[in-house]
Amino acid sequence: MVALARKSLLYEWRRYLPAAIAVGLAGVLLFAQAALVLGIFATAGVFVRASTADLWVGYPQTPSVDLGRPVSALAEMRLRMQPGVAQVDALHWLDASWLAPGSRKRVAVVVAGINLAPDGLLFAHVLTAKARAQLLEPGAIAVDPADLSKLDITVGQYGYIEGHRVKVVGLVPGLRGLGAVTVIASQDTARWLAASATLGSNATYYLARLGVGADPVQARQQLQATASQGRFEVWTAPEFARRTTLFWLFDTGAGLGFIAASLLVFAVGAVIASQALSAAIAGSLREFAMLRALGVARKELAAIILTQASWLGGTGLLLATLVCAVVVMLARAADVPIAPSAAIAALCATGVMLVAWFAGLASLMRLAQCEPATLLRA
Amino acid sequence: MKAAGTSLSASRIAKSYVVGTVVTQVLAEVDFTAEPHALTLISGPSGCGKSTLLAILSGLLQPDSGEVLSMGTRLSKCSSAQLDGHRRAHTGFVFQGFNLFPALTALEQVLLPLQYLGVTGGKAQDQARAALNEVGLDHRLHHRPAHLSGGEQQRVAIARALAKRPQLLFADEPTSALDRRNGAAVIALLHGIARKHGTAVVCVSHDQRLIDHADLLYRMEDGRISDTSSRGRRLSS
Repeated sequence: MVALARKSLLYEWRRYLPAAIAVGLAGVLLFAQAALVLGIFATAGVFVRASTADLWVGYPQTPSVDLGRPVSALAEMRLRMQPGVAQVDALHWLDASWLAPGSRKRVAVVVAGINLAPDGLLFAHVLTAKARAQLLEPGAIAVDPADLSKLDITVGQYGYIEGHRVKVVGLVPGLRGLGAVTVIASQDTARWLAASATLGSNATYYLARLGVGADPVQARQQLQATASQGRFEVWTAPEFARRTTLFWLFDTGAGLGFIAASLLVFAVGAVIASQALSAAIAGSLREFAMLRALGVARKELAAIILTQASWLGGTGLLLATLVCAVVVMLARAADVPIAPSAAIAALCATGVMLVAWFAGLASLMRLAQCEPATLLRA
Repeated sequence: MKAAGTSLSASRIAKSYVVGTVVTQVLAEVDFTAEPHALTLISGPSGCGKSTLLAILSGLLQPDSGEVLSMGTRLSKCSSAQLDGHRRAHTGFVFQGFNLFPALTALEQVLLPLQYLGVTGGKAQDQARAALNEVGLDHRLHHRPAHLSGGEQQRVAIARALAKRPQLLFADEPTSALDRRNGAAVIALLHGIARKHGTAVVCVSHDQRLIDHADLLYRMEDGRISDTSSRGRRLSS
């Protein structure tokens, strides 16, 4: 068999390179955008992901972890009564404002008053024993290193939350979320700060860790059944993190904007790739017309072009994979939230091949100009 | 659709083109016959309609009226797919431009149309090598067009047309892009193909050297056959 499509791509690679780059670029844009969107929106669920709780209990219909409201104290009682629950922690959530020393610029912060015991469930993955000890000091807070510039402060300096003087005693990487700056404090410090703020006596969330062998889904169902008159709602941790991400993705303007931009990238990529492939195919029209003269049917020529499109898609995919690997490394080095996953990669690979095949199908229109009679001199 | 007859005959062929509101009669009342074992030449000044006649005779174009009988098949009765099949089975083409794929070697250029005919494997290799051997390129099998001279490229194009052993071979100005030596070689090849394989070779050219080799010569003027002569003998005017 003479593999015309593959041989032409390899030998005339300069002619086909623009099409392969266009397809690859569409893949890079799709992947980077999807990974960034999910990475950014996943940061909204940082409270959930940075904790070891199996169950979260909050106000009914809470769409996203950052939109919590004080929950009935009944929830804590029900949690503690639930068989299989090994530990219950409260999360006090305080929306407040920060003022740096000598500054008039107020910055929105979220103060998380958490259990700082060594087995505390919140931020279990990101809080070191040293940080926990430092935060026990009254008025002590910790923030993500990336938020220091936003707060205009350095470690060891004092600032003001709701008019109370607080000291930044440490840095905790991994707290950076969407919107307001996350500040970690002890529950005592949070209550003290809340004296002039909106924090009620009730916690915003109750978190539970289950004992070995307990099934989170089953426990959630049993607990939910006890939520009399719907005074609280129970989610497993993965559910709540996903719920938060999906809320930001589909129920906010930002998320819909990103989705629209992704569709635009797909469309633009497909158009550019089809133009580039059409141009490359136009260069072979006389040869294709020759094959038509010898009796090769149009559908057989179409098969050659679609095979070329598939090879271009594969080449574009390879280019995109290499560039995406670099993009992910750079993003991680710069602390940019990016969440690459196999699912995103598979989705984008499908997108890349669709772009290539769309380009191939669009290029088939060129075959209409492939009349062998045009090879004869008039 | 099938009818008995010679290799190729056409009767009362007419063809016109419409550009805007202007109708141009390209061919009118053209009768034509091509025999096996013979090189039939259509000659005439530029724009006289000889290439259009070749396109119609080869089934690349349908006439407005008239009939073409090609290897027993009435082409006017054929669908597009049937015309594809007819060309695939019976005809070879050599054009002025060589139209070779830059990525393929001489051998692959010849193998490619064979694979669409369903000839593959060792048989295809044998036929392709034999065709290239016949045009004197057995030592250039693995060279790409970029490494072949114009004459060699035209000979690859002839081998490509020849490999499937067509009963009809159409050539359009096959020597006009070649120098004297290569032109003479191509003329000898076309003549040899007609003689050796019994192919009806139909050639359009105004190359005087080809005229000298023609077994049957049709002279055209203004879309009509103005003169017909066989080798050294005038048949009609």
